[in-house]
Order: sequence, then C-alpha cells, then structure tokens
Amino acid sequence: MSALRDVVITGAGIVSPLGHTPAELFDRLLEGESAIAPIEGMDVTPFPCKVGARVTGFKARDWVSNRKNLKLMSDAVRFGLGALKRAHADAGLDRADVPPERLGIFVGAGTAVGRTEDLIPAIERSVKDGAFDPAAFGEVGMHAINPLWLLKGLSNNVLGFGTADLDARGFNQNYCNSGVGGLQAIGEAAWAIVEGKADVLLAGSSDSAVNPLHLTGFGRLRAMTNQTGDHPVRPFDARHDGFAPGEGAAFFVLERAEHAAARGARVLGRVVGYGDGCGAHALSAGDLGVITTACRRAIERAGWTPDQVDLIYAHGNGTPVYDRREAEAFAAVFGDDGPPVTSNKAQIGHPMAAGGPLSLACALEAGRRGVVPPVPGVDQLDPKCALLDVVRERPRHTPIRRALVHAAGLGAQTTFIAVEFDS
Amino acid sequence: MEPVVITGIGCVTPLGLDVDRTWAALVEGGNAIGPITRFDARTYPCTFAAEIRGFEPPKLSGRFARWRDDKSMFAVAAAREAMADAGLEPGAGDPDRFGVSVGAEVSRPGIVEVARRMGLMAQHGAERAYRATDPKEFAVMSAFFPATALAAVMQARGPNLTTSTACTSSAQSIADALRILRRGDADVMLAGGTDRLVEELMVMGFGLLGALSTRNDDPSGACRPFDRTRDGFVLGEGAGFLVLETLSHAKARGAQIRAELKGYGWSANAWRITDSPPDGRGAKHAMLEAMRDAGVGPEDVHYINAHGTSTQQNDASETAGIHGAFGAHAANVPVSSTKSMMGHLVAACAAVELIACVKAIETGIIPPTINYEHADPDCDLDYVPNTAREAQVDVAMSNAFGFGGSNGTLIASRFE
Repeated sequence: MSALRDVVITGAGIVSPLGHTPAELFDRLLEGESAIAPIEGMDVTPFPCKVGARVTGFKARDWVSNRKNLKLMSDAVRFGLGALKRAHADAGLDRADVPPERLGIFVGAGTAVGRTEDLIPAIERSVKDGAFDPAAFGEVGMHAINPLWLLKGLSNNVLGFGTADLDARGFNQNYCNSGVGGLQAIGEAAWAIVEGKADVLLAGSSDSAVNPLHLTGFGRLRAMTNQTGDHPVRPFDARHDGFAPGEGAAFFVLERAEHAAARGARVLGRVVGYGDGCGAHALSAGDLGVITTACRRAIERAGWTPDQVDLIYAHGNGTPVYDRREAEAFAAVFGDDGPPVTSNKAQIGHPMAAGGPLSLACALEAGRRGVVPPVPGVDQLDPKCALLDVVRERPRHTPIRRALVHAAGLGAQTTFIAVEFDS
Repeated sequence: MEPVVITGIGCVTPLGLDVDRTWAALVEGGNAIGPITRFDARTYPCTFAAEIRGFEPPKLSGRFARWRDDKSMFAVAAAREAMADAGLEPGAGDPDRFGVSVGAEVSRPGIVEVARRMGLMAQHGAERAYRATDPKEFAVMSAFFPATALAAVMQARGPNLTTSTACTSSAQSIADALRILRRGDADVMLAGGTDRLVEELMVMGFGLLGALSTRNDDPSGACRPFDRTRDGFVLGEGAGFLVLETLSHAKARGAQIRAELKGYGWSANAWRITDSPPDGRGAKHAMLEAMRDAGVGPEDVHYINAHGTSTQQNDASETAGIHGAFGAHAANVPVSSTKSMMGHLVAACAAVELIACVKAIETGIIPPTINYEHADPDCDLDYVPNTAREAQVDVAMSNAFGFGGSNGTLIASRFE
C-alpha cells in the first residue's frame, strides 16, 4: 500500500463564528478578535456558563439545493451543507469531471437527539388527572408531533443530505465520536484515497454546542467556563476555568496528488500522518500515554522526527484538566524545546466535532502565510503548562513546513493529523 | 496487504444472549417477535418488537460499575464473549496495538423521563431541572459511549471509532477495523455494533414515519421479508462483536481462526434520506465494491445474508441491486433475511448478521427467511423460505443499507 503522503488537500470550506472563509477566519484570529459573547436568544439562567460563540451571517438557503429539506435540518446540519459546498467550489469540483461513484463524503458528526422541545405539545396533551399518562401519549399525544420528528434528529443528516446534494455516490462515512470525529473523518478519508476507493473525497465536520443539551451536559461536568469578562476562555493560562460552547463546520477536498495535478487543482497541503487512540480510564481527562502514543504515531506515519514539527494546533480548550494533560503529553514527545503551540478556542469557542477540522483550516492558512496567531488572554501560563511555547501577545512569523493538529473527545479519545506544505 | 481473520464472535440478540443460543434459534426458524413488554405500547401504531429479555448486565468494577446504559452493557457482554472465544485477555497482548470500532447511535430518554423533567422545570424552574441532571448522562447517552466503555473494560488504547450511519453502522465499523488492520495501525480490533431500540420515542418515531409493520394482530407473522404482503420492519435490539486480527498475529499466538474477513464495499444512494432508488443502484455498487475488494466474483458467493428489512421498498430495491451486481448468477445464490426471526437490530444488525455468515460457513447451514408465504414479482430470488438449508458455504456476503443512504457490504470466507 502506498503512503499517506500522496494525499493532497485541494479545497477548504468553512462556516465559523469569525468568518466564512479560512482566510477571513485566520485574519480575524491574527487580529485577536473573539466571537465569544453573552449567549442571546436562549434562556441561560440555569447554566453556569453564560457565553458562547455563534455563527452569524450564514444563510442556509444559499447552500441547500432542495429547500424543502431545510425544515428537517438543525443548525449544525445547515452549517455542514454550507461548508461542504464551499469546499466543493473552492477545489473547483464544479468544473471537474468526477464520476459520482468515485466521489464521496466522510463526516464527523455531533450529538443529535432531536429536539425535546418539539415533544412539549404531545406531553401536554397526554396529561390525565394532573399526571403524564403514557397510554394517552400513544393514543392522542404523539399525533401532535410532526411525523418527520425522528428524521430531524438523525445523526447522519449532513452525510445523507450532502451526498444527495452533490450526487456523491461513492465511499462515505459518518463518525459520531465526540470531539475527535472530525479529524477521524479526515484521516480515514485520506486512507480511503490511498486504498484507491475514491478519486475525490470531501471530509470534515459540522457541529454546534450552543444549545441547552450541551450547556447542560458539559455544565454538569464543570467543563465550561463561568467567566463573562474580556477573555472568558484562556487555554493554558493560569486562570483557565473551562471552555465556551462554539459552533461551525469545516470540510476539505482530498485527492491523490496526481489526480489533482491532472485537473490542474491548487494544492493547500498534504495529509501525511494520522494517529489516534483512547485512554478511557477517566472521562475527558484522558490518559497521558495514549496522547503521546497517538502523537508519535502521526509523526512516524508522516516520516518526520519530533524536532521537525513547526507548529501544533492544539486542542487547547481551556479546561485546566485537559490543558495540563495536553501540555504534559507534548512535553513528553517534544521535550522542553517544542514547537510553537496555538489554539483558536479562546476566540471561536469549542465547536465539538468541528473543532479539529476548523483547527486544520487555520493550520493550512498558517502554513501558507508563515505566521501563527497568538492565544489571547494568556498572561501567565499555568505552571503545569510552562514547558509549552504557547504563542501569545502578537503573531509569530516563522516558516511552517510541518504542522500537527490535535483534537480530543469526552470519552478520552485523541486524534492527530499531520499536514505538510511543499516549500 | 495482510489478510485479516475472525478469531472470536459474540452476540446478545432477541433470539438468545450468546452466539450458541442465537444460532440454534436461527437454524430452527425461531421467532423472537412479540408484544412489547418494556412499556405499555398498546396505544402505539405498532405494539410489538423483538426485545432483549432476561439480560443480566455484566458486572463491572471501578468507575464503569456506575455507568449503566443498556446499549453499552449489550456491547460489553457481546465483546466479552468474543474475546473469550478468541482466547484473549483484556489488552490483547499490546494495548496500544488493540483498538475498538463500534456502530452505535445516541440513546434517547424515555418519554416518562422527558415528561418528568418538563414537569420539574414547570414547577420548580429550569435551574432545579439543571441541577437534577446526572453529570454522567451526556457522555453515557452519546453514540461514542459503547466504544469508550469497551476501551476501558478491554484495555484497548489503540484506534477508537464510532460509526453512526443508522442501519449500516456496524457494516462500516467492521470494515473500518479491517482497513486499520490492513494498513498496520493495529494488530487486533474489537469490531461490531450495539443498539437499544425498544423505547417509547423510537417506537413512536419510526411508527409515525410509517416504517414499522402494523400487523398488530399477528406479531410473529409481521416480519416477512420479500413476501408480497410485507408491510414494514420490526424493531429489534442487541449487540454483535467480532475479534479481528491480522493473520500473522493470529498465527503467532496460535489462535483458532473461524473465517477470513475478505472484503468490504461502501456506497451512498445520494437519493432521499429515508428510501433508496428503486433500481437498487447504491446496493449494487456496494456489493460490486465488496467483491472487487475481496477478489471474488458472483459465482464464488454461496450465500447472501440480505438486509431484508420487510419494507416494500427495501426488499424490492435490494433484489434489484442483487440482480445488478450478480447478473445471470443472481438466481443461483441463496439469499435469506435473518431479520425475519429477530427483527431489525439497526446499528447492530450487520455485526450479528456477519456472525450468522461465519456460522453458515462453519456449519454448512443457511438460516431461512421465515414467514415467507406469497411470492412477489419484484422479489424473485431464492430466499431460503421458512426452513434452514444445508449447503457448502465458502464465501458469504452480508448487506446493510440505512436511513441517510449509506450502504455497506461485508464478505467473509472459509479460511484455508
């Protein structure tokens, strides 16, 4: 089997709280802008976390061919369709002649359960003598619910609607694996290209955490920030106290280098390494050894040595427990003279499964421009993160040939993607 | 490319809580479909299902002992059976080279619980409802949790993936394990799927869509794949897991090899999310890809375990797909749907059905499609009606097609 390094990225499309192209997002990150703000349009009084980063200025109607389907799509699914089609256009695939059976989509999807709010009228109709009556629910209650209720909560709706929209009939996948699903979709798609299973694959993720389900779930785990001031999320800083929910999507177009060259496509970078693992001894904190093993596996697969890595786009979500775990793991792999480390979660929050892919979009920009955005709000590193070279205060100009992107999940999953830029 | 072999199998199904009991029932033409007992479903559009009964959740130690969730417990029980069958201890030798790939979906709360919380919120305010939420709940309900639980219980520190493509989930999770082993990212993979479906909101959701059989006066006759009078699928639940390993790893430790996992194929319908194109093009493409990947031709395949859900639309389109993929040879291949006996295990169905294929290869018995009474002009294959059949099976194919339009085909073969 030939190597992963034959796989190139020829297109990127994003939907983010700080812009709708990778270049716009990256510009605003460089300027230190943050989209994290008090959450509006939703009652957040019960939740300790009051802030989040929301997507604005996105019109789903512009990106969905069959608009009848819009009513079945959650926000996250709409973002996904937008990012998919932006990536498709960015790679010039609208002008390319890819047979439908050789075109596919790999998705890292978020937690979709259907809206429980939609059940309220049914439950209200099922009350007998002041109490909920399950028999009445079957008889009259449930018939107040839209018969398509289940479809809106399917976990593979980006894939289902996306493949229909782009007539992509080839290899496809949908990973629901917490924070790592997005990078896994990219890594597994890259391998599917190496296997010769497709000519072109779109891979990435779409997710949203700015909703009561996530505010409750991660709030109860005390993983979200309680701060509301200027820098509520401070990855690796001594004052870090949790992440802010975010949302967005990022998709990439992957193909073989020779396929890209034959159609004259522009190359944004190469996917050269992929490593993952799971240290499920403890929820979210993870197992240090598993992070270092996955990191080394990605570096090894890339054919690099640790000292050749020019940039780490960290998970860096701003929770004390995971920041320290990640810092320790990087120290184990890179020693005390490691590469510059940055994170975008102080500015766009934590978009769950979409976090890794949005970091990859930023890493591609960093590689192209030779500059790393600082992490705003970092004044004094947590002593347990002190070995990291966290980029702060101002952008760091430095040639970037090799970058690692890391994502972590609630079930102690860890995934790395290694990308390389031709000089 | 290194061959990948199946060295352990385990399952929890409505027909039996392990492989032996499940297989015995499949061979006898057993039937696990009956009125729903878990909750009062008498007023629902569909009042029956194939439930898991008599299941004792496995005893776990440490943190995981408190994380009760049936879909994860089904997975742990089936995986333990598979690991024991393979003669492997947790860790499988080298935990970093041991991974997990699971087909699973998110769990939904019961309607009584949803109503209780809404009542709590109305009466005491949203903050009280927030504080009453179990901190573990979000993770435990999530689709990835069975994979996390298995990683912890089985000490698998390698690749850890969860596929959620509805009814195709475990066909793809098992194929991912095959791919990971082939490319050398692990030596051993625990792969399969799990699902718990007999829940109010699932019976309601699928029922409102009109996807379920409503033959409420005759539950045991309700699941009749390929029969002209079929009227919808029947919910089942359970888990199936297989231990997959590279041939060299299996040989080095002297493992018993049950079969070879020979190949896989995936495709997308790119059509509508709830149904497939009548010409079965997606199904056909998945089967052709799988045969190409396995290096076998239509005449090599001795048995197809069909997706065969018993909906009008799936069974006709799958039949068209088999015609497309197998050409003139289609009429000669026995095709059966084991869902006729245990209902539709959704995210777990492909794993359990692949296990049935392994058993067919080992025993030379093809399980039947029960309740087959009326021929349908659109379904004109050999469906092994009503009674099991003895036959030499060297290569068996398992199909899975799902909501969302993903299709997955797996091929297992006798290992020689």
